[in-house]
Amino acid sequence: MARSGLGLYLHLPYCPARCPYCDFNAKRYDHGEARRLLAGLAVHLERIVPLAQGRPLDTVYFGGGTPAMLPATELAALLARMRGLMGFTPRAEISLEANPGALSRGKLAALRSAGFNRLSLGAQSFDPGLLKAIGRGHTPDDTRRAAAQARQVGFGDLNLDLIHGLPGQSPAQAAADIAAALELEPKHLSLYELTLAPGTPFGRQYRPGQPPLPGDDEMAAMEQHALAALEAAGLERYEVSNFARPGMECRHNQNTWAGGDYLSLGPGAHGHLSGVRWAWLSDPAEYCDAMERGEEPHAFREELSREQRALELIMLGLRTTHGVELAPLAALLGTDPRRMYGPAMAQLQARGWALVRQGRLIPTPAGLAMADAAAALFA
Amino acid sequence: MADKAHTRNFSIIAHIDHGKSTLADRLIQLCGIISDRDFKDQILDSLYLERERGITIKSQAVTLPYVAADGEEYELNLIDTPGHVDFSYEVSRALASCEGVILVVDASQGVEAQTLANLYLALEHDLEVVPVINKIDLISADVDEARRQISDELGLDGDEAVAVSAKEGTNVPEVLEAIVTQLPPPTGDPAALLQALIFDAAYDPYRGTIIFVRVMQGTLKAGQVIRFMHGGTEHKVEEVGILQVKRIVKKELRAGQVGYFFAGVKTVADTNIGDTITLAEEPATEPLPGFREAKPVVFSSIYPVATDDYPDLADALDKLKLNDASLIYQKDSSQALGFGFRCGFLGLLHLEVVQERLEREFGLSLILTTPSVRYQIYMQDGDELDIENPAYYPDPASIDYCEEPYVRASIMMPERYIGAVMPLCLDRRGENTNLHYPNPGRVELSVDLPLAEVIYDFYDKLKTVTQGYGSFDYEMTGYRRSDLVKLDILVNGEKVDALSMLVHSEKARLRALHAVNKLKESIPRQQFKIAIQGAIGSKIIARSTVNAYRKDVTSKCYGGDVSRKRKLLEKQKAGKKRMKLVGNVPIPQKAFLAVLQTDTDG
Ligand SMILES: Nc1nc2c(ncn2[C@@H]2O[C@H](COP(=O)(O)OP(=O)(O)O)[C@@H](O)[C@H]2O)c(=O)[nH]1
Ligand code: SF4
Ligand SMILES: [Mg+2]
Repeated sequence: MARSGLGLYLHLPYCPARCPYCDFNAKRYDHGEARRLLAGLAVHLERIVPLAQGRPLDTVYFGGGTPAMLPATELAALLARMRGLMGFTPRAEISLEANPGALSRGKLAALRSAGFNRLSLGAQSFDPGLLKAIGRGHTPDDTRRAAAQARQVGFGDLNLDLIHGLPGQSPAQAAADIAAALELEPKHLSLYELTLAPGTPFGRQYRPGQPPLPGDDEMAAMEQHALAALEAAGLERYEVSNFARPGMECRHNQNTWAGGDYLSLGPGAHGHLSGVRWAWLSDPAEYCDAMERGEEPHAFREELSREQRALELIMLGLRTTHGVELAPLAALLGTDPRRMYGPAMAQLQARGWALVRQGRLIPTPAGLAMADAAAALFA
Repeated sequence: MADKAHTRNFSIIAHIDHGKSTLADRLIQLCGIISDRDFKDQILDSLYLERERGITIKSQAVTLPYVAADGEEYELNLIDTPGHVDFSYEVSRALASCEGVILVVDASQGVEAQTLANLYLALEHDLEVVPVINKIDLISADVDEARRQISDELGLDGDEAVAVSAKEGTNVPEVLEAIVTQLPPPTGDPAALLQALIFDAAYDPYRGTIIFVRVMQGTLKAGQVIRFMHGGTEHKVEEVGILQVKRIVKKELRAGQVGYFFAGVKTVADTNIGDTITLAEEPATEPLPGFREAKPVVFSSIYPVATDDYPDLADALDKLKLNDASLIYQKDSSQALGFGFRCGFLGLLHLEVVQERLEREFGLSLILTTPSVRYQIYMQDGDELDIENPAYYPDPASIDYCEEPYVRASIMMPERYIGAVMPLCLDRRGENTNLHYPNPGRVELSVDLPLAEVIYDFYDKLKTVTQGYGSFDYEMTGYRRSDLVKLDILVNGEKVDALSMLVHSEKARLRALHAVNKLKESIPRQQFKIAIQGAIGSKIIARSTVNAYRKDVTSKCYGGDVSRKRKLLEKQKAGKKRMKLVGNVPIPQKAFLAVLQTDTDG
């Protein structure tokens, strides 16, 4: 299989406060622990260098948490060390996740000049009431200001995150959110439906489809409107929840969805190298302990069978408009996937969920809406 | 060996948690039959072969040697009993083996519902009752109030009651002394024709069945050929003895004594609790009174969730049967669930115990169909059918009429609950209610109830409306005419045979609604709409719908989500194998279980 570019995902688990719907590996910022973690990361970074086998990094993603909460100097130093140890490809995509409230113009400028070239802002909504209801500390104007300043300091590649299906949100409010986001002319937009994760305050408080959450019909209306509005604004859907101007897709994530390789750094960060998946310990203190003892901070490590790798490629590919490439699948399985998955592929097409075209299994819009059920046919 | 005058046979009765097991522990320790090193708490419970959720099913005996204040050595036989209405017959046989009981009352709780119910049971057997007040070490103990309640509410002598702390051992020796002085010795003549009462039996993998007996008349010895007077079989006695936690072999058991014997009886099913043992050569003229054949009254089909587990289920039932004579089963099959067994139980608790043991001890994952009673169906052509399985319910047009089993229930409760219990009984088609006031403030309600209503959720409901103060007992009285219908449940137009049930026509709609709503909650959405219907014949009486998915896709799937998502797919695939397909609708096990749950108002 042709080797795609190598990615690196760095997880920084700190946030200004914990959002009530969040089930990420995130926690309230703790200065002492953060300092210790930064020291641990520096050590760990050196130790993972051999995994790259000399390949330069093509994408780097600082995710979280709210990585932009950490001092710009620290973020810049980490990035510089990565560049020094592994090198970047000429067009390397260097993304940073940020909350609008955590940014100042000066910090943005420092980050941009440190080499970050893609900024992802967690706008979530432009409705002040809804932002408050979901426990976000920023205002719509914070988002607008951050977007404007980001552009001024040279972040041409700006993503906005939005959430639909918030408690009490009407289709009209959802449409207004889309419009407000489009006014900022982002090159990329991620639109999520609120997920009620068990164990979170929202997970305990709300039932899907039950008031105050929007019902099924309202959700359908929101989605329909959003798809049309985004398309009209030139943002093309390339994954279930991701939209971009052509050429501005997030390469880091595309690489993940294509089964590509990515290293990982930081508590709870997952990595993948040719069929081996692993994650580091998710508790920052345990992660640092392991680092200080000189141990590998593995939470798990698994070597996938060919069938498991194939299932992943299908599961991920069916979420993208590009679809599943059949040639790599055939190479992996040593047989024509149409033979191996005959009934599943027939079902997909019979249900109108996907087409086979140009050597790919390409999901239809209906198929994207049923991507989980579609993947289940192959399990 | 102790003579009759130096023997006492007794049982301990109490409201739950008042300290029956703890007191038994102390008595056993005081009599020194087990070293402190070997002792463990709740020792009698730990000896039971069947013990589930704190409910003891088998009766147990232990012989305590005791030197009393008068300097004489006594043999005190403690017979411990189960405590649930499903096993009231077993309790009655254990009590029939005693002359007296210790009634334990918690000093901080006072007289409670089961204190009274147990007292009545003891009085029914003409037993002497010695009250003991327990837990006097508690700060909240109010011994004087307990004495007053024992006198006023139970009509016993509260002032003389021994007050103890079973936990700390305080005053426990006085309990032993009270047993000797206040309980009568057994009667009976060791030289008379043998009559021994079987009060329990248990399976021993090496020796066959161990049979627990109280000798009423005559003497039981190894070498004798005995006859089960009801069972009719004859066996040669191999060994007799007494139980002191361990078995102690004895030469003989004489009238008045309690002990065990082996006689090459293969399985527990070859004995009957309550049967009388006599000598084959010189039989007694009559068996002891009170025998009843343990007849199953509740029926349900048990299916393995994984069809492959059928042989394991068959094997597990065979093993359970070795020790549980009252469990009956035969092969059954269902379109939806494949091969299984139709099983008969003494009651719902018995059913639950069997289910739990199958699941826990044998690792089986099971689906049980709605419990049913046995109906009598009189056909137009004069035929008569016994039906407990809806699958065999005949074409209604060919039926003349049906009859269903009734019980006479006796509900004992504080007077204040009668206003809640009466409507419950009426709602459950109760008739012929009769009130009786045994003591001031207490009331006993007798009522005829269809057994089908009792096994549904009557006991749970009664517990709820009486806040645990209602005690409940019943006996089967016979069959009465009833308006019976067969309720079918359909999923997307296909009948789920395992969910069919026989119900009274008045209850059909409620039960149908319950079933369709439970199924709606537990059948996962599909890409198509699923219609769920309850029907009598072709008439739909309840319906619900599981809506189709609008979408089925996780919003976020990034690098950190891949493993989890793939594992979920793999797990779903395994889960799919465990789902039963009806038409093209996969029905999970929990849907069957949800329908079985009887929270009709929930
Ligand atoms: N404080 C105190 N607790 C006791 C005494 N006797 C029993 N208990 C406790 O009460 C609970 C129920 O006792 P148990 O013997 O199992 O009651 P049973 O349900 O009647 O068999 C247990 O936690 C015992 O430890 C006592 O004399 N004093
Ligand atoms: S900012 Fe993001 S990562 Fe942090 S708590 Fe909120 S949702 Fe979770
Ligand atoms: Mg107990």
